[in-house]
Amino acid sequence: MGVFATDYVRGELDAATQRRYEDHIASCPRCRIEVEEVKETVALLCAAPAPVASEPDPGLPQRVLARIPGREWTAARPARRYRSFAFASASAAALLLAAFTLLFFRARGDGGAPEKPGRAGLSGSAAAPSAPGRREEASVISRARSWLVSAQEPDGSWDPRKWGGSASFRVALTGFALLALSGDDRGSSGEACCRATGYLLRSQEESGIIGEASAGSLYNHAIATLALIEARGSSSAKEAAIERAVSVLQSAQTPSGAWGCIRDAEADAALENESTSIWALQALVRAAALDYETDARAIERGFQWFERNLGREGMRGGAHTGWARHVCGQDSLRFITAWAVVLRDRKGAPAADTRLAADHIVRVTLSERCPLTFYESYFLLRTLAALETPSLERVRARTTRSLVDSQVREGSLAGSWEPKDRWSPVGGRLYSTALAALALESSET
Amino acid sequence: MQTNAVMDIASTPTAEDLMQRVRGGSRQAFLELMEAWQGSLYRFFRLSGIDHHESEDCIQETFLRVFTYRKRYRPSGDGSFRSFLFRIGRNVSIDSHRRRKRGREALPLERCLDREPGFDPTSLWCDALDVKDAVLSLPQRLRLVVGLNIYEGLSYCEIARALEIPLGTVKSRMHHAMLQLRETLRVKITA
Repeated sequence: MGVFATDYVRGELDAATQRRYEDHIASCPRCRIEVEEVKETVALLCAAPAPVASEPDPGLPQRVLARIPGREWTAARPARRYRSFAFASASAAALLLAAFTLLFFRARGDGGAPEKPGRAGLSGSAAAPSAPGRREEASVISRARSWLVSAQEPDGSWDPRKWGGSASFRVALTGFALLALSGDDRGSSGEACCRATGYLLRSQEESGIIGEASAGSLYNHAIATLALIEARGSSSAKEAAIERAVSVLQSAQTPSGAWGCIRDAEADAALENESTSIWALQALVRAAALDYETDARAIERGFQWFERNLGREGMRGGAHTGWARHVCGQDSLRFITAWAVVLRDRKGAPAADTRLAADHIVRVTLSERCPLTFYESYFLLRTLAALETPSLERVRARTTRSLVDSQVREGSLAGSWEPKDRWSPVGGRLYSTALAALALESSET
Repeated sequence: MQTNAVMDIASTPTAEDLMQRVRGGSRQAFLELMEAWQGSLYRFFRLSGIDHHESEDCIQETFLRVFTYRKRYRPSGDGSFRSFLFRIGRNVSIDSHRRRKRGREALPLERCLDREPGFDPTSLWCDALDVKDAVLSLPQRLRLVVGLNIYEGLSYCEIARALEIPLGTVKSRMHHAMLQLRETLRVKITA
């Protein structure tokens, strides 16, 4: 059958082509037969019962309506006051500090700008807030960036000790701040980004690792690498630094696909953790997307490591990592695995249904009603924005609203967030502000 | 003889009007919209190889997403709602396939359809069975295009938007579907 025959019979040729085709078939018996065959085939299809003869339950529409809250039917929704999240009390800060430090090395991760989705533009996802909401979030993010710029040191870094954090994570916190500012390279933010990039480049050791060697140096390094990749601007020094940093990340991956401490004689699987792993993985994913030399197998192993944590049921995983640790009150990494599987999903054709698993993770963890940290808010909002699950839109809106409402609005700290979750004793105000801004940016985009 | 009932629905302009009312907060309009389109969605999901019960779940999920995305819907001429609806339906079906892939092997399409409630092969004409078999024997990528064009009345452009594939691909798939259907039916008829 000629290519045009089907289009002609289905009325899909434009007027000019149709006229030419009709002229043609008037003098071409072969094409005329083809047209007749298509007509006969279509007639058979239309005349016979549809291949699917049964019908859905007529009560389905009513069931759908029952799942939509009644207030959704008002044309203009009244402003609602959302319950603020009960951030972990700072009263146990001393105890938490010790526990946290351990956890931080084992299982800590921070919000960073993983794939570029957040900055790829307003894609109009289901999770996208309304226009007034976006404006409000944008102004909140803008204030946060202004505060971060004001808190930057002359050398381009951010000093955690001045803001209630630990000096050990100066590189990571500088990375977070750079990530938070990279979404806006104009004016003072752009200059601050340049200075921060310079600081991170100067902090790279001969070995390629960014920051001084310590138990948590791979955590610092992973975030700094991602921040450099995301930072605007290009120079041969920066490109070379990124390549070396990526090489370090790949060589530091454990045989099982995770990251934890710098590989040395004492490193073993027990030191693997989701937090360092997610930043390292994101850095590699972004590096690969931007054509830096990466090992696709390393990325795949990283995803597989997270996926193994899902376990057979898609939720409960191994004894040491992943979902099993995402138990209320134990640590605050509940959404990292969810984001990891969504991230893999976005790269296409996952072996398992990671997207649904992530969706399930989010639902179950939210049902536990744990207090959210800034860290969790970031991963949660990233995940929800990617999942586009309508039934979780309220969660997204509530989380966003909570962050918007809790920003400091007056005084010298205006634009920052009070560091009062469980990770604040280490991250301080730099952590709370950078992560809150990144979380809102995720939601905004 | 069952004619293309869905085409009648699809060709009515009321879907856009209903969506406008839904955006304005009309519960009744949304109910009417769902009642008008759930059959089309059901056929779409079944042709995608999804069984009866899961198809019903998919229908619910699709309508929930339609409601969530209602503010994003922009009437842009005849058929825009169909593209909008089936594009969402396609994403829901992809999620469904992934879920089944994770849980268990997917049932062969024929088994899915033969298990549907009330299915009685003896009640159909021989020709009808031939046509049904011919359609079901198409690869899914061709089957969906045929289903949307022949049974749901979507134009090529609407199909392209719904399935998020180039217009040329729609044309190509329809062409190959017609070739294969004609061959299958010719063999069956002459056998």
